[in-house]
Amino acid sequence: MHKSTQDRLVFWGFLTPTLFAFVMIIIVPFALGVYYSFTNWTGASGASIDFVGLRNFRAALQDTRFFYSFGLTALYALASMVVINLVALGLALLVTQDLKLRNIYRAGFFVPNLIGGLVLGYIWQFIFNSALPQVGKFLGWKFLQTSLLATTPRAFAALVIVSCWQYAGYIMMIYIAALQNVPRELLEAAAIDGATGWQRFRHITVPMIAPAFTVSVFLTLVNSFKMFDTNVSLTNGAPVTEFAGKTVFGTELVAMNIYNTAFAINDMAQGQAKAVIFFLVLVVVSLIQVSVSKKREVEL
Amino acid sequence: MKQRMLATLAASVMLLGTLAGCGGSAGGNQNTGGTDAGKEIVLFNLKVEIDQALKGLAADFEKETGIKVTVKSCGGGCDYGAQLKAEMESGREPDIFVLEGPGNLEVWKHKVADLSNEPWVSEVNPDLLGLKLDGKIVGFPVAIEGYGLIYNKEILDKAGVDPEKIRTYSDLEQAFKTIDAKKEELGLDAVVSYTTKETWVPGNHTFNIYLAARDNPDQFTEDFLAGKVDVKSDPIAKDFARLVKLLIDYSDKENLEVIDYNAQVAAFGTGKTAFLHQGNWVFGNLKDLQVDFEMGFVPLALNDSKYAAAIPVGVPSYYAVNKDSPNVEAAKEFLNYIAMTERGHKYMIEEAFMVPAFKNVKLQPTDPLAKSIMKYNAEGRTLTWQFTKYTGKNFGMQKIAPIIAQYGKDGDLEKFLDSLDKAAKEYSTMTQ
Repeated sequence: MHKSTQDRLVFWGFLTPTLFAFVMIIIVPFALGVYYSFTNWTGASGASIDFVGLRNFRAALQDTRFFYSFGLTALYALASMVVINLVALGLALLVTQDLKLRNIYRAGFFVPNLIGGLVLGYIWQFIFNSALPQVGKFLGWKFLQTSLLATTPRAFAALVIVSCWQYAGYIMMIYIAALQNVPRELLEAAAIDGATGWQRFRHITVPMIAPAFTVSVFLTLVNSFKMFDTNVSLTNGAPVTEFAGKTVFGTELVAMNIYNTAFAINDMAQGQAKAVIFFLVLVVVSLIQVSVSKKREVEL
Repeated sequence: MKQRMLATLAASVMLLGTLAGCGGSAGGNQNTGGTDAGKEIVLFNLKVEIDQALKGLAADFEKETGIKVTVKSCGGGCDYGAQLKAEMESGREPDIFVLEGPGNLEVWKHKVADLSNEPWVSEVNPDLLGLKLDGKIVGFPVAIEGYGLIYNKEILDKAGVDPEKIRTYSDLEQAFKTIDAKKEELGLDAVVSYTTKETWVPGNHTFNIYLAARDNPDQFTEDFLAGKVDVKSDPIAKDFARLVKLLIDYSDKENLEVIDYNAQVAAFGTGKTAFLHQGNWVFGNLKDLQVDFEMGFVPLALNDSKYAAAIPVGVPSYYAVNKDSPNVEAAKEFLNYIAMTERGHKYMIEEAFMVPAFKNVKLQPTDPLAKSIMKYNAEGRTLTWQFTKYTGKNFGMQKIAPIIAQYGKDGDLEKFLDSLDKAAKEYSTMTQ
């Protein structure tokens, strides 16, 4: 009796602060956001809020620019997911070898992840606009002489490069942890049986680190979908391009499109409706991804 | 199974986090609860470049009156409109905030105090008191500003071009061609320093020429924004397209969407271009670059009309007083301090390098761009600022700028006019 009361007290004592924070900064804004998406909310405090039904959703679904952003974001998420995971796995394999200074390498690859996305965007903007063209002129390489941000496909590539640079180190850490948990005896047994390095990697290491793939693919996919800060500071949507007969910002990812709708065009409610659509799409994508990846995992 | 549940749960939680970021904060009408109420006012400043000067003025104001003025500035590249919403929700609403024009006033009309009976009102040219709500003056003109093509006198002299004589499109085109032919010997990268990356430059400033360089621009802009103008059959639209093409063709065309404000101003300041499509606010930046050449404005001339020889001059931003603040009187006093005292005049002219809207200011600016604007003003060669009518929804930056950038790439006149036409019609049907 006494003991269980005390247990309960401890339970709630620890839970309450986190639960409070979680409810206040996630549940409440989320619910309010969904509510606002059905109203003419302007975001200005004190103005009246009226219910308008599905008007915002209709407007969002008729917006060419929003569709372009969605397609672009899907492409971007796919590209950066593949690139980041390949690079991260490569780095992880590299720094789990018997290298001198490997801890320094690990730290070095991880450090970009500690720099904020906005700062990073501005630094890379400088590299792409000023540093690389100079290098290009020096070496006489034509493709480097104009900024990587000057045309839409190249600016897209630039976004992938920067997010890879920022994020690969973090994902690398996950792969390192997984690689270190691959039992030595399995690899040794396979080696004695005559398996080549590639065969050991393909048939032992990869299945053993499958849970890390699940987590990493999920993290990179979701983070790429949500990409905002580097997008704003690196390209801010430029350069423009044409899509379905309309001129649109060529590198405006969906989070930035939502931001611009809400804060630049000042249609808060429609921005909110777009955010709800975005959320639903993201839920579906993530659930599919997680369930597919889960099937590939093996348990010891 | 359990693991899968956990993974799914974790996924859902993270996703929820995703959207929460997009969600608005829980709104509320908290009263301003600052300590020392009545003794401290918060001014939320738009122009980061006058931050230091404004803080200096605030310190002197505090010495004289005991009212503390806290200046918060919205840093470079900061989105003032978005930030103001956050400030208003922060629990300590600013007492003085900036409205950039009627578009912003529409958003904040329930917050602004009546300033009609303030002493400074009689010192301002009525044309520049444009910010009104139901006939009441609600905006204090922070400064007047003008823009056009800033020229580098040294380069123009060497090329044999007289800026005073540029009054029509053909004059401007001729000047561009003359300079372009001597680019090598003058050490220029391009004739004009332009950008489409900074979307406010094409979307607000360049496009304003189309709206303002005509008879009765107010009516025209209203019609245009209401979707009642057939852009394709408007001869001035073709003149405007010609001007845009001229600007783009004679600038660093390949990098137009890469050049940011700093790069644009630096190219002019270091003598790499002869002209700069900007306004008198660049003077501070040019001073940092230790520019010593003479300069002034030539108009963005789009045809042969008298309007082509004029430069747009207007009030870029107004201070509004938050009427729900307990410090309304203190805030009004600070505005009077700026407009009606010598210390305030000194601040405007010598410290913030602004061109004051007030007639009682006796000080003369040393800034050549301010002087040039005053000269245009005195000759009556000014255009109105029509673009402030659509900054509330950022129509220029979000809708017009990409169209101009695209025109710079493909030069397709028909599509350009058609896109402008569609953009206006779309704007007119936008909800709210």
